[in-house]
Amino acid sequence: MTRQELHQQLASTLEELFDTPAAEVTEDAKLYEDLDIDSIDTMDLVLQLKQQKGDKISPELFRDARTVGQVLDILEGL
Amino acid sequence: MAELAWADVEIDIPFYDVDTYRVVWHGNYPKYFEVSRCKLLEQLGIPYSTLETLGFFYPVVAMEVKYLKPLHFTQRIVVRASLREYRNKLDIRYIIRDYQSQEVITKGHTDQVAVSPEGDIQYEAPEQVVQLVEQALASL
Repeated sequence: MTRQELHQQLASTLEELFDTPAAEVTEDAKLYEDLDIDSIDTMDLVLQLKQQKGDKISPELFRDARTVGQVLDILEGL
Repeated sequence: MAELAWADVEIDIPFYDVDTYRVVWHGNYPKYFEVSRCKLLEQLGIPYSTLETLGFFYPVVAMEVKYLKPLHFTQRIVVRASLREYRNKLDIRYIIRDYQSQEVITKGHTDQVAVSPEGDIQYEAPEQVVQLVEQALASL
């Protein structure tokens, strides 16, 4: 998948899980501060990504991700 | 999502749980959930004491309660705790029924996550916890 496709998929996942408006899911958006995603939400997000991408996803990968762009970097690197 | 295992407990509503409206105060329901949850965790081979021995706390991090009908002093209830997910977070659903009529009075849900003594959330359940639960589920 291209980065743009990954971005669209992530935006729709965030909308589905947390009602996050897709327009707010920009590369620079901070997960906690800008998108109001907390540590418990992050768990649900990682679980959802795992279901989409399979067991390649290790939750540890996301421990230091703070922005949408950093999440996309991780997804691109899989 | 399917229920993987469940536990029932019976409770007689005590006087001290009732408020000035003569129904159980909304803040007391989580205590009933806790009683059934402890029995469920015992059945699953992961009582809190075992979890702590393994090096993890499992605090409740989210909870939802739907109060469909009131509960009254002396009413006998059955609280069912059902396991829905354990590999990441511990997702448990609750149904409180009137003992006699079996009418559903309350529905609820809690999420618990493994936390290290240093306070770090574990994004996956510890391997030993998964093994214990799977052993218990296999023997049900």
